[in-house]
Amino acid sequence: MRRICLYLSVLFTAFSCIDRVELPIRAEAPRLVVEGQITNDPPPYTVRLTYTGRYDLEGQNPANQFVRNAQVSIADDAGRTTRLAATSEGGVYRTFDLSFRGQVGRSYTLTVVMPDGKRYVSVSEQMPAVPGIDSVSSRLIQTNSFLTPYQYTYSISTQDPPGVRNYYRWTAYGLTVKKSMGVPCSLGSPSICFDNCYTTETSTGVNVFSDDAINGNPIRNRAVFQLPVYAAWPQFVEVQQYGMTLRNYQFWKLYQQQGVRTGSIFDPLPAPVVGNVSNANDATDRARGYFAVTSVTRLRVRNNALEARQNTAVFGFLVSQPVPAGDCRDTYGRTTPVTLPPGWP
Amino acid sequence: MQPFLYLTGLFSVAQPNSMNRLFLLLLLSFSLHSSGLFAQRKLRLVATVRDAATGKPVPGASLFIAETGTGARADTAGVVNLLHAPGVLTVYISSVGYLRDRQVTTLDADNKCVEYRLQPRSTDLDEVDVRAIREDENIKSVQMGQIQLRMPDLKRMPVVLGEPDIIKALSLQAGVTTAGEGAGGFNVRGGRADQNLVLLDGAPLFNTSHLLGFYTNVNSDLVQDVSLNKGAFSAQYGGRASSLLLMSTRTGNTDGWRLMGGLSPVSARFMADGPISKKLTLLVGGRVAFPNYLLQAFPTPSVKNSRAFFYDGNIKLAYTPNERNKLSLSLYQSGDTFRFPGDTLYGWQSSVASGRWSYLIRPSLQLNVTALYSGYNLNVDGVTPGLTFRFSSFIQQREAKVDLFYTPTQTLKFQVGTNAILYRIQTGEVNPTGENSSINPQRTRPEQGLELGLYANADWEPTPNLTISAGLRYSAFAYLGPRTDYTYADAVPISPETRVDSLQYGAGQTVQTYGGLEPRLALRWQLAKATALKASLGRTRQYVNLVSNTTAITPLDFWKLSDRYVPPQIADQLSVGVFQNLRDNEFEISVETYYKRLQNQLEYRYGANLILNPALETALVPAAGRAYGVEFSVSKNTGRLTGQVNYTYARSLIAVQTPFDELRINGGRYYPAYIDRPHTLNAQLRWALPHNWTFTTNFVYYTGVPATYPDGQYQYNGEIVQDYSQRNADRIPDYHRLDVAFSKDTRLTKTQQRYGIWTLGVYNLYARKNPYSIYFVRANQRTEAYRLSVFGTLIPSIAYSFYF
Repeated sequence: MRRICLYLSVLFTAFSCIDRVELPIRAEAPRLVVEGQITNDPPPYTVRLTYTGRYDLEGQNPANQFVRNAQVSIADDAGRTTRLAATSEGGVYRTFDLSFRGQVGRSYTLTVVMPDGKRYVSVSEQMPAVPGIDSVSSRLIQTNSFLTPYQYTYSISTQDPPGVRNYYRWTAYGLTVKKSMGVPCSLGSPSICFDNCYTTETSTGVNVFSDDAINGNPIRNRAVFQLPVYAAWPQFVEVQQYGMTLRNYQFWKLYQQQGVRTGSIFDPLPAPVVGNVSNANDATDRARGYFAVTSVTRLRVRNNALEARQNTAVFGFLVSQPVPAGDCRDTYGRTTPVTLPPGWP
Repeated sequence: MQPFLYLTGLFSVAQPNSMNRLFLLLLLSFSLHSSGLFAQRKLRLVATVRDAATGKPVPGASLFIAETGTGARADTAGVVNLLHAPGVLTVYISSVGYLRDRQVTTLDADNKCVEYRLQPRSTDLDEVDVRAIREDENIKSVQMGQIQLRMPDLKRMPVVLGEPDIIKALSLQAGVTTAGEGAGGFNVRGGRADQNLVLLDGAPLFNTSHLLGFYTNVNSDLVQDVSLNKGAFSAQYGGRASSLLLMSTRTGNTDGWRLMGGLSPVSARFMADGPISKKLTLLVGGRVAFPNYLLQAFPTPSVKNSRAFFYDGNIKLAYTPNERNKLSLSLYQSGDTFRFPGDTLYGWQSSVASGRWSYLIRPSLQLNVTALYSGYNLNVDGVTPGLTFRFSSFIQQREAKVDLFYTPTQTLKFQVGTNAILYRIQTGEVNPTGENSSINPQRTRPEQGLELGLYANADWEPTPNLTISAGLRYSAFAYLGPRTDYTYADAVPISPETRVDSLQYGAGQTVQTYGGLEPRLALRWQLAKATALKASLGRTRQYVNLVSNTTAITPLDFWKLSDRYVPPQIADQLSVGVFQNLRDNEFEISVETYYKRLQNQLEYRYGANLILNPALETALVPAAGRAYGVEFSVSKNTGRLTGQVNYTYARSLIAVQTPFDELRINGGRYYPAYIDRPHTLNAQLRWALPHNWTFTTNFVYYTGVPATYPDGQYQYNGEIVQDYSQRNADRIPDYHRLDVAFSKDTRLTKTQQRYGIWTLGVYNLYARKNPYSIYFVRANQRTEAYRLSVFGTLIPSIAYSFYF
């Protein structure tokens, strides 16, 4: 049993404790979970449909959580509808009509007809516009992490448009090189190949922001991503800036709020993270998750990581790390690129 | 007998002589035997009780003989006739308005005449029971559902870290609960924390918490009387739906200056009072706290690295120019700061000023005129670089009231009055601070409202066995502009997207009005000398609401006036009770049952954003509540051993009422409210021991409060998410706790002016880890339940109070 108790003073001892406890937990009937979005990016668009599972995961096969044989479609306000087809990935449905592309200002609705005939429909939402990203800056930081003590933190700057309400969400991913000893480029060759793998890391968590307090002002140095330094090598980062609807923003706030609990008086009331999809015949039956109608802008940057390459502490850390032998793809994955993929600055 | 023997053992440690202990034991056994030996032959004791100052007899004084537990009352000439076996008697003499006295009398002859002199209470400061009510008050009074705290007992109670606390003491009574240990506010008979009208010298307090709710923000040293009405209260009061808590501060001593103070592990406090001139008295008191080292004991880093401070202070001036006029001015200020590590500083302050003029027009006619101000404000300072800001919110109440009391006969009393309240509320305002802050100034429009009340009340005792108290209050409320009201599309839930129009109202323009009658009725029917049946019925209306999206009261909660979308809260309560006293009022037994219906309660939509929301109505859903329960109470009021045991069965349910299915919580069915606690048992014992020691103990048991546990989980955004589909369908484990305290009064005689009281206590004696909350965290690929115990072990404490 985990226990954190603290001693106070000689005069009196005040302990306040947090203990792990076992409690009988109710199990409710499975509910639909919708995770998908349409953007102004070219198609395809995907929607993932799953069921909620038991809290204790007892006797549960994850494969049974996927919704199979659902009829899924997206409609716009111009009367067009496109179907989504099931893919080999569990619970994932994808559009295949390449002419059906999301447009800023248009409204979209998702319809899901479940295998048992229940029909779930999303609230029609209009795709908001989003400003471009002005710049992405990087800064080398030292963290408490034992494995990755040096990381670059990436921050964006953008100009919030005045006069309209904007709700932002940022995601990012980056390519960072991980080293191995490599193998000779050809038999007997003195040069070494396959020693640099461009591994991809993606941002985690939810990073959303409302311009309520700063409408029309610049958004400066909003941290969006951290990428560890694994080698004295440049890093390549793409940041996506999404423009969301108010409802979508509120959904993410609810998602964040419900994800953090400390048991204190400031804890919010527990609530299901419901979004914009509900049963067309029973409004109390609300699906978990959200079908987002969102626009996106992107910026790709190259960080030469000079600071990390010149810093003796970082250098000391990097040379202390064991480097695996052989082809780096043996360690970091067969599909990992060994040269910088095209499209990066 | 065991605790007593244990104590005599303690004393002999002070004088390490085993002979002493033996002697005490022998004495004890002798006294037990002697009463048996001489039980057959009784002698008459004729005692006269006189006022020590004037020498006049004290009619109705009561005598109590500690050895045998017998007692008698003085006649109108202050004379007591008592038959008792001969011996050395410890006699306690008491009367309303006098210090209780203890005398040792040797009864060795028949018709032995003695005289006891009682000191009038005016020189008393604190440490005597100043319960100026009849012993059979619970039978004779028409009031039911009323709790009166005995302030001297408060200092001897076992409390957390030795800090005497009014609300903690109230929560040991039937029908009063709090959201949990260390949570602010209190709940009365299923009512929410904002439904309590808390009046300090007639002025309302909008917040009663220090240190996020660990302590009450009124210094108990300065309070003379505390009474809580759980049922229908007098038509004189209105504005809150569930209960009335009246706290009145002391009036400065007229005879001379006195100083008292105290020290607990949390705070230091003092009080001084005395006459400035013959007609003017002053009372000043204050308290400052040093809780930082306590916070460091918390396991949660967010609390552990926090810093806090609080203070409160009172000033009261009373001016009595002549017998007919009385003027008083009471000022109160309290403040808190609480800093979370890193980025946020919370500060909240309450300020109260009230002035009263009492004028005795005729002996049967009295006029009271009161003017008051009460304010509460909150600041939050954000210090994140580039985003520095100050958020503030406040509520202010300005009130004037006039009450006229007419008592034509002993059995008839009329009361009429009127009051007018002007509310000003800022629900939220944010401003950038520092130079490079990107924060834009933003504020919700301040709210203004006017509440008027008019009432008449009559207390009539047609026969000694029947009392009727009937009152009628009319209250009216107007929301005053400036204001922008939005209108929304019909047949869909209101939301920022369904807004269709806006209506502008100019300054002072009436935006919305509400009002209605609030009848109050209380009946007492005395069935026998010591048996009474009582009933009460009342309606109350409340035009201010505390907006809070957390389970307990937090400083971030803000007040809001009723408006177009938030109708006033209305509560109707019916209660019936039977009251029985036994053995000459030594025991009081009561059973009370109530049913309460609450209309227009605020509930919140899932994920509602409340802070700085200019269209707050889009985050709210209307709800109805009902509460019912039975309260059993047995108390023993006289003798060396006194105490009370009460048990309550109570339910408090709520249902969201909206035509829109998607907004219904739990499908619109009634579900347990956060304060629903079916079973509550409280026991308090107080045992007066020799040598001015007192032993007190509390035992508390209650059903765990409702909670919402996850009942499913799923993957979203690459993370595991818990699903909380049924609100309040679970309960946290039951709560129980035992506290003990010993207190020592250093007085050698009752008239001693300089003395101290030491209290040694242990809170949560058997160190139960009572859950404050259960929450779920995902760690190591598993979701696990954690129990947070605010006081997870026993907490010894020592506190000292002095009187000079």
